[in-house]
Amino acid sequence: MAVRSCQTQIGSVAGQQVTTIEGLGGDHRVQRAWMALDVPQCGYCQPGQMMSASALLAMNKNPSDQDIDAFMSGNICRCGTYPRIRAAIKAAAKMS
Amino acid sequence: MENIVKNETRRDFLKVSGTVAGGLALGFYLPSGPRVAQADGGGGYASPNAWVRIGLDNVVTIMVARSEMGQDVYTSMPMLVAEELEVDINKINVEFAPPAEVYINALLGGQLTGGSTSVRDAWEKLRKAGASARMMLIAAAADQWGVAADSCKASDGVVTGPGGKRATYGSLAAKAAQMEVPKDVPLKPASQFKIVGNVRQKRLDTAAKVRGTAQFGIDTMIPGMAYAAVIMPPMIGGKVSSYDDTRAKNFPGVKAVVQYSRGIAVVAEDYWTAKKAVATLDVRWDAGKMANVDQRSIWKGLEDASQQPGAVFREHGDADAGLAAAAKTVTSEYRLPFVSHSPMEPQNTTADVRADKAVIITPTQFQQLIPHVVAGATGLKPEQVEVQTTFLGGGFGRRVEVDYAIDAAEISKAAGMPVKMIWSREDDMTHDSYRPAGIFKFTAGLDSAGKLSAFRFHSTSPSISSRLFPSIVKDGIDPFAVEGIDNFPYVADGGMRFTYQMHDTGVTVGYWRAVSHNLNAVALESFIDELATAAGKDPIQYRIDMLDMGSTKHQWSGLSAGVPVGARMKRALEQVREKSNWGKKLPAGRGQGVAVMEGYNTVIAMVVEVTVSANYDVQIDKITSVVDAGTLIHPDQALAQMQSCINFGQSACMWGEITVKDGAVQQNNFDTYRVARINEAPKELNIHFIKSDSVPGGLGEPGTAVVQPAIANAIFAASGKRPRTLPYTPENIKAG
Ligand code: FES
Repeated sequence: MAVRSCQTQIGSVAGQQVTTIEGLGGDHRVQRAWMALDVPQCGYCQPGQMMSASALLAMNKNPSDQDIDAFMSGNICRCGTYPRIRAAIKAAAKMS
Repeated sequence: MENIVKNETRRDFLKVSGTVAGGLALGFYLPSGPRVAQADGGGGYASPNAWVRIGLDNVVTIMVARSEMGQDVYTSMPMLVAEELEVDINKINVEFAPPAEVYINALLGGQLTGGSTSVRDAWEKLRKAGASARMMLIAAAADQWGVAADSCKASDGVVTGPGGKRATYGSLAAKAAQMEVPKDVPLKPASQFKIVGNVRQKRLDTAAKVRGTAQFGIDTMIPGMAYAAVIMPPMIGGKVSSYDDTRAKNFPGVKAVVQYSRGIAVVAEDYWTAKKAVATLDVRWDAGKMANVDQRSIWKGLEDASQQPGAVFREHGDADAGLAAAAKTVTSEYRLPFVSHSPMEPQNTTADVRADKAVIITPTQFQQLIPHVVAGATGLKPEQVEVQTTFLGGGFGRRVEVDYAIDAAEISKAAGMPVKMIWSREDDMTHDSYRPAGIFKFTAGLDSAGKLSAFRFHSTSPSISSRLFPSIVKDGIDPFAVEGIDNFPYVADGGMRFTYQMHDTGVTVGYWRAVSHNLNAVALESFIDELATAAGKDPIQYRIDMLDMGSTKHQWSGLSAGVPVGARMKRALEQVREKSNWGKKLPAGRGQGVAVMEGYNTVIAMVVEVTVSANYDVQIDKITSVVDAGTLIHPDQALAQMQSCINFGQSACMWGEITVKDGAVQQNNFDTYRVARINEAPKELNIHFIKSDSVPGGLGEPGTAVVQPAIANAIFAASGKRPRTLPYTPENIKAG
């Protein structure tokens, strides 16, 4: 499950396992796809975008545009990297 | 104060005596590149000029003197240096430059990131900096080897000479820094570019941003640092009258509760504690002059002001006579609301104010101003204030303001410790400097063939520069309020007159991505569409036929004053017509709309396709755009900026509206201030850049304005309703 840290009180995740962007390891396929397509602009929203994207790919191996839009619409990007996020999720889906 | 340079173009807008605390005077300095040779022995480096640092270990560092807020200066500017320095761009280090005279943006007269000027200002300057450094490295090698400089060559960080001689930049650096700075610095022709224009070049900051290691202001940590949460008056211009901090003070972990100029801060050992404690403060406010102001009274004030004649900023012939003689006249009025910047990273600053010095670490677009305002707020001297710029989690003009840096400095001083002040989203959205609201009135005369024969424009809106840079406001005209229409690109032979009426609503207004292009050009390009409809003409051909192919000028605002843009607009319109499959058959409820604009020396033509439901909900199906931005330094990121601008403009025109009640801003988060989500992004986005070897145009802003009227015009084509009040909500469309 992906939750947004800026909207989550730490007490509400007590006793649960939490993975943050650092936990993706740096070489996760989502991160590789994000790098290949130069997704980030200011970059501030991107850890959240990548955590949501990895949660999406964990439950949907081959998401369509509609799947991506539905799952990712909770993460705002003011820089407008949405077209690249869509493309990067599809690229990540093809990576192992 | 001295250093006032009289010039009516805005490029000089900072060469003025400022009004901010501290009595700022920003001078104008030629970027001649002082030599700062600083070899410090083992592991040291040398600097042939202020832009390049060559490590004795061969690591090349390029200084970036603009703020990286997504627009890619972190890569595009070093690309310019590296092209001439002959180093591998992917192996260099990048460092953000401190405030210094040498880093002043000549187009703005200050060390400031804005006005889509970074690359334009850097275009020659940074290539020359790279070339000059390379020449000094070659001169050092030639001297060392006792050969002629022109028998040596530099490539990939190595100088080679006759007989297989070879020396790395690192080994030459210390000597190179002592060589004479070349006066004549020839630059490569475009045909020899290896880095500039490389379509495969990646951003140098992507890995850090993807791995979560990029340091934004909010990530700053310094030893001994505490966290500050604040409460500020909800009413614009309000003040603290009294407060009770008994509960807050007794919170475990709270170190201090301090009052500062604007509000009250709780300083605690962690942010969560500070935040919880600040909520327990019982504050009484002095509401100030805005106490009885609400959105209705603001609009009433603007309406009344719009009855005033205003100041003429462009005139040709006799517009009134032209209108009287017209076969037909069309009159229309547009209204645009206040909108918020709301970058994703809320405002924050880490400040360590001591008795004899201060360190300010902050995501800012205007590092040069900070020593002056912090000095004013703390009693220190500007030279005692060190400023470090972090990555910015978005800027969009919000971080040209230095208010949050002043606040943090005051809090640190009052609490007597280093603090990181972080605003909540609510603090940020309700204490923004908003894009001005305004009323935009047009009357056009058409001849019997439907062609524009006379034109009258009258805008009424608050002036941003009156607060920030009052000395550039002259004769009732703020150059930043007439952008996007003082370069009116169409012919109206029977006469035209453009007037601007300044009106202060009391709401703080600021420079918002593309500034008044978002007002004037949005209204203008919607109105031109109305004229095409009135004339029964195709909107693209109608525009092309009326373009002024001669001397279209920015009368006031432009950085490209006097550059004819008619031919560039014609080409962009013709190409977008073809690439968008303009005029194709579309099912009921769908439509195409066009808009064209020149801003920041970039010409953009755009066609938007929308679907409008029976309830006037709008979906953007497709956007096709043709962009003439001259030479592209980093093509993939030029594309990213267009994608970004389109998103930002879409958010503003579809939903953006800040309103005021009892003097307070009513929207405080993204639930009440809606912005585009991924599911609302255009389904298809095709951006085409015109191949050009002209000087680069700006790309960080202009697309933001163009997309808005293109959407409005598409809504009209799809629904027969023309929204003249923004945002384009179902209610506003329905009323059209
Ligand atoms: S990259 Fe800036 S907010 Fe998403």
